[in-house]
Amino acid sequence: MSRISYTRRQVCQLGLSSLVGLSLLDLAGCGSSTGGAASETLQLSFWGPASRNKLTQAAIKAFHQEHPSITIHSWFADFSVYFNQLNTQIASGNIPDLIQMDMSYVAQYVKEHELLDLTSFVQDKTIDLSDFDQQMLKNSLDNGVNYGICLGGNYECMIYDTTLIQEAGVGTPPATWTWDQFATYAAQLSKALKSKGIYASPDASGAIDMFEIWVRQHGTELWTTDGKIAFSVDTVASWFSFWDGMRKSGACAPAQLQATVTGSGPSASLLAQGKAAFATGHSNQFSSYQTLTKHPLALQTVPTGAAPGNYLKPSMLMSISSKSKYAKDAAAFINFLITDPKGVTAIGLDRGIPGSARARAALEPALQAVDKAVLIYASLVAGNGSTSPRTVLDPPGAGKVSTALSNVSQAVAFGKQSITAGASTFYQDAVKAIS
Amino acid sequence: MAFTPVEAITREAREALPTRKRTRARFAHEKRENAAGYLFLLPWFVGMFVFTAGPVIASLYLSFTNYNLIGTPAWVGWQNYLAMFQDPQWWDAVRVTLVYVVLSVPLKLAVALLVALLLKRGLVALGLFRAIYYVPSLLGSSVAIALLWRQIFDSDGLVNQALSLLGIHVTTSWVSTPDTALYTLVILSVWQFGSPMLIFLAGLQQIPQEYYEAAATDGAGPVRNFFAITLPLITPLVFFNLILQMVGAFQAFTPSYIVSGGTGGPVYSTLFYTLYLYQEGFGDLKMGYASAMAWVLLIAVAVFTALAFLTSRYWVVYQDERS
Repeated sequence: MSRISYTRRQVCQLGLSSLVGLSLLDLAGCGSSTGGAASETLQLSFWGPASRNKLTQAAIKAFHQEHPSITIHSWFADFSVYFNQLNTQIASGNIPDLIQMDMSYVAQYVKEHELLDLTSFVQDKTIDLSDFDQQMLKNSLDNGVNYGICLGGNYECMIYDTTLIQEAGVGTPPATWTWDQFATYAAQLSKALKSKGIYASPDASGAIDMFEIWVRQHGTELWTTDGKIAFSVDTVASWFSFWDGMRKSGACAPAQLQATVTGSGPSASLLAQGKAAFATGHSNQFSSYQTLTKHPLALQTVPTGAAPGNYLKPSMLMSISSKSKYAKDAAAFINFLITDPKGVTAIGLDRGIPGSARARAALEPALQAVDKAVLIYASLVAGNGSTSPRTVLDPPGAGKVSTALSNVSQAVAFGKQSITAGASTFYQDAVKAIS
Repeated sequence: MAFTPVEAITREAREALPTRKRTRARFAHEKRENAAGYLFLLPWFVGMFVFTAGPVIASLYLSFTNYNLIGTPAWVGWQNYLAMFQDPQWWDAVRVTLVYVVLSVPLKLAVALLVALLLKRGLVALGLFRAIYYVPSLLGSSVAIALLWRQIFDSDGLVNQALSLLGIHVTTSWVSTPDTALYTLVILSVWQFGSPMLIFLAGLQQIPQEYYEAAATDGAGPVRNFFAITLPLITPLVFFNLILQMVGAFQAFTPSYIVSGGTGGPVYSTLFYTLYLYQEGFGDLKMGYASAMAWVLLIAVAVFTALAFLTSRYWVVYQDERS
C-alpha cells in the first residue's frame, strides 16, 4: 500500500510506546544521589541486645548535640547473625563507616583490607589513647597495628540466679572452685531443682570462650604466634568428656534442651528462659542478663585449673571502614565514646570496662549496683591469680572454629559421635578453618 | 471479470483449505504494530536481562573463580566443583534435601488429591473450605509462619499440649531433636497443600460425568471408580503439580533458616542445600564455591525434571491424544 496515513488508533499506539520508551530512559538516568547535604551522615553497625541499642542511641544523641553537623544512623543484630549481615552489606558495596569488630574476626577483615589503619588518628590525638590501659591496648592490636579501638575489657565469668540457689538450699558457690567442685555443686543443685525442671548449668561444651580457658589451663594458648592450632586433640577429648560427665549426672542441660539455644547473647540463654540456674559469658554482659529477669543475679568465677586460664579480653573493637568518606568524623565519634564523659556514661559498662583511666573515673559516680558488681568481680579475678595475659591474636578464620566447636559438641551431646571421634573431627575442622 | 470453471474450482479448493497465517509482517502498518509491541515489552526485557539472565551468567563465571565478595575473582577452574564432592557437610546438605523432597512432595500431592476428592462433592460451604485450605500455601513460606512452627513444635508448644490432652505426656522439643527436626519441616511443607489442591479440584470437576454413569451401570464401586477413571484422567495435573512442587522443594530455604536459627538444625539435620549455600556464600564469603553449588543444584533439578518428563509417557494420559 502506498498511502501513508495513520489512523487514530495508530497515533495512540505510537504515542504510548514512545512515552514508555522515554520514561525508561529517564529512569535509567536517575537513581544517583540526592545531592550533597550540609550534614554528614555516617553509618554504625554493632551487635548486641536491645538494651545495648538503647545505650548506643543515647551516646549518638549526645555526640550529635556536640557535633550538630554529623548524623549517625545505626543498625544492630544478634552476634550470631551480625557478621552474616555485615558481609551481605559489604557485598552490596555499602560498608558502614563505623563497624563494631570482634577480636576473632578482625584479622579476616584486615586481610581483605576492609578496615582503616588508625595509627595516624592515634598519633594526631584525634583518638586520644594517652591514658589507655597498655595491656588492653596491646591485646587489641593486629600484628602491632591498630585497626580498631578497644571499647572495653571483660573477663569470662559465670552468672547465677541467687533466688534459685536459695530455693535449692545448697548454699552459695565458693569464691574460687575447681572444675570437679563445680561438677559436684552443679549435680547437687540440679537434683534440688529437678522438680521445677530446671538444670544447674547449661551445656557449655560448645562455647569457645569457656573452651579457651580450659585449653589455657592445660598449658597452651588456642593459637600459636604464627596462626596455627596450639591445642591438642587430647585437650579437646578431655573437654568433651568433662561435659559428658555433666550431662550424665544431670548437672547440665541435656543435648535437646541445649539445642533450643540457637542464638547467642543473654536473651537466648537458658538462664534468661528460666531453664538453668547458671550461665557462662563475659562480665560486660552481666547488666544485660539482669535486665532479663527479676531474680537478682550474681557473678561467679570460672573454675580454676592447673594453670591460670582467664584473661582480660578486649570485649569489642570499634573500627572504621577503609572506604569511609568521613573517617575523621568517625574517629571523633570513637574518641567521644572512650574519653568524653558524656559518651562514656552513655554506653556505661555494657561494652566492657573502659581502657581509659579518665573514662573509668567518669563512670565512678554514676555506677549502679550491677555495674559495681562487675567492677568488683573484675578486681577479684585480676587479683586471685587465675589470670594470665594472652599473648596471641586470633588468626583469620577463628570465627569459623567457634562455629565448628558448637556443631561438633552438639553432635557429641546427641550421641551422634563418640567423644574421641568428635575430638578429632573438631581438631580437623579447626585446622581447615584457619588454613 | 468472471471466473473460468477451472479458476472457480481452484478458488473453491483454496478457500476450503485452512489458511496459513502470514507470519512475516509485510505491510508498514503491521511493522509499526510489531514495533509498538516490542516497545511495550522493553521494560520486561530489561528486567529479565539485568536482574535474571545477567546475574545467572555472572554466577556461572564466578563458580570457576575464588570470588570472596571483596577483591577481584581469580580463575581456579574446576576446583570449586571438585571440592564440593569432598565436603562432608555438602553431602549432609544433599542428603537432607533429598529426604525432604522425597518425603514432602508425594505426601503433599496425596493430601491435596484426597482433600480435593472430598471437596469435589460440592459441599454447602465449598468456597469457604477452599479458601481455608488455600490460605496456608499463601502464607506458608513466610518467616512469620516458620517462627510460629518452631514455637508449635517446641517442648512446651501446641503439639505437646495437644498430646497431653490426649494423655500422652512428652517433653521432647521436636525441632531440637536431630531425629525429628526434619519431619517438622516436612509437615510444614505438607500443610501447604492448598495450591495443588485447587488445581486438582479444577481438574476433577472437568471429568465428564458420563464415565461415572457408565461405570455405575457396570457395577463399579467408588474405589474402582477412582483407580479406573479419576486417577488416569487427572494424571496430567499430577504431573504438573509434581514438577512444580519438586522444583519448589529443592529450593526451600526459609523454613530451614528460621526453624534452625540459621544453623542447619541440631547436628545438621535440617541443613537444606540452599541454607548451606547461604552459609558458605554469605557466612564464609566463599562466593565462588556458593556459585558452584548453585549451578550443581540447577543441574540436579534439571535432571530430575527431565527424568519426570521422560517417564511421563508411561503414566500420563492426555485426553485429547489420538493413540
